[in-house]
Amino acid sequence: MATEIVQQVRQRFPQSFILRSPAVGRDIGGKLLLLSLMLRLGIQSDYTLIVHDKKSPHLVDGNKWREELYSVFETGKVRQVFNVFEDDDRIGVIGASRFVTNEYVASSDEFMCTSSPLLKELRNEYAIATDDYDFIAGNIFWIRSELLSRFFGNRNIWNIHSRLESGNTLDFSKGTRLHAWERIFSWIATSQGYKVYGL
Amino acid sequence: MDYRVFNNIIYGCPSVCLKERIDIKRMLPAIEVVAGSIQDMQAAFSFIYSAVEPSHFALTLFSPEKEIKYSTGWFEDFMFLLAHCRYLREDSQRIVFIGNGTQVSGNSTEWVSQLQSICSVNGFSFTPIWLDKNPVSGNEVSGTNFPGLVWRYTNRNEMERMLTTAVAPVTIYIQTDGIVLENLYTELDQLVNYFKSCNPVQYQLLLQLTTDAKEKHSLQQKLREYTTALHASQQYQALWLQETPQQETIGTGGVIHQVNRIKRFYWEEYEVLPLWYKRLGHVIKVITGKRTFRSLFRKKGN
Repeated sequence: MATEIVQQVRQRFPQSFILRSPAVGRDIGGKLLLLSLMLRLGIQSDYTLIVHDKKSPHLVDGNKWREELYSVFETGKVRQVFNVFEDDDRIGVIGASRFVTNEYVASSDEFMCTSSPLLKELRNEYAIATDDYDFIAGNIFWIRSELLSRFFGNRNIWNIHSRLESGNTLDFSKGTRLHAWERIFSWIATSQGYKVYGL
Repeated sequence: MDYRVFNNIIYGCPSVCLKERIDIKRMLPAIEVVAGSIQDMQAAFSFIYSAVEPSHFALTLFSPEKEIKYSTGWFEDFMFLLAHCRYLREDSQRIVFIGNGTQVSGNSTEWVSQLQSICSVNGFSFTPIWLDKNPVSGNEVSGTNFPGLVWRYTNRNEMERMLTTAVAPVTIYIQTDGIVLENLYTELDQLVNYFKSCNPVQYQLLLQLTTDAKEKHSLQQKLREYTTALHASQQYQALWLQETPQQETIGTGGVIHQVNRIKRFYWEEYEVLPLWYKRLGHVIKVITGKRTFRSLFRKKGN
């Protein structure tokens, strides 16, 4: 199956780089390695699409979730995404509007999720300074590439990757680093003064 | 060329390739790197990642020094190469050839173990194949089911000996040392044909063994994939079946919330109804032909 996918991707995108990452950090693990490769190769771009295959068999409407999340890179929407970025230089992340989420409770400085303690720990450790905790749930979105380069330019991606959980980790009863990083991915933009925008 | 009998894998010596910048289409599938040398690893990284259509490849690490100090950059490039989709795998294991020029010593074992343990932090694993042992039995390769034998090609006589004594599929490592690869291919062809004509039955058996070994590996791979999928399904099913969801107001996931909502809906719309009402409903279903009469007497769970 993996070989078939590689062949299909190679056929559609001959210039692509394909990594076979270990089962660490689910989609976040794979994305971190690809971002690290992007930086290592010095690939320049205006915008980066962060995307993964999404099954969510545990969700009642998992397929609908996926379709909505994927809508931001449908043929008709891509131009719209670029227009939004071009029209407002304060927007750093664009995802499907239904999934723009904020779990932060300012009064208690807590996040309404099981990963709250880890989020606070990582926020301090990686010096993520922001009051805007909007993020794209589902972690599929467009982001200005320069924000990624700046953020990861002085943070070790391999080190972040090494501390993610292995296997099919879920966060329903206990928080996880990988689910914390799912949220931090959007804060890469907000911590640099940019906004998360729902399309 | 018919190398099926050798498990279809021929490993070459790569330094020639890196140094002379041979046409990418003829790239040899093993890249020689001095362990700990940042320049070598950078060169290997650039070579593979600048190739438009790289062939499958594997790394060969040599250690001229007893103590090897790795830099962060070296490790990152090493793991990028291991992660490359064309990195050579046998039985789902990435293969890294190890040689120190002389004999396999305690020092080599130590630095390879150290390398393995550091890579495992990021979830990467590899199987070391010691080039200085000739041949290396698959069973000696720790922690894997590496098929058959790995044989370092030295000369024609050795090769002939190997062929005539082969009782399992063989993987050949060719240490070319600058020899023109085409000549080696021709020589191998001749040897295979010679072997085929002298030992037709053994040749056919080896072919069969190779096919069987491949099928076995493919089935093992499928088994691993299905086991993972099954485990994931069981995890998700357990979530669905949770009687008392622990988190009602989970933010984004909303999973338990959703499940709970459906369970509550079912309870409020159906389960709370009096039993006689539900039973009457069953009878009406039988009358209208939506369920069988027999199903009324079937025990729950059958």
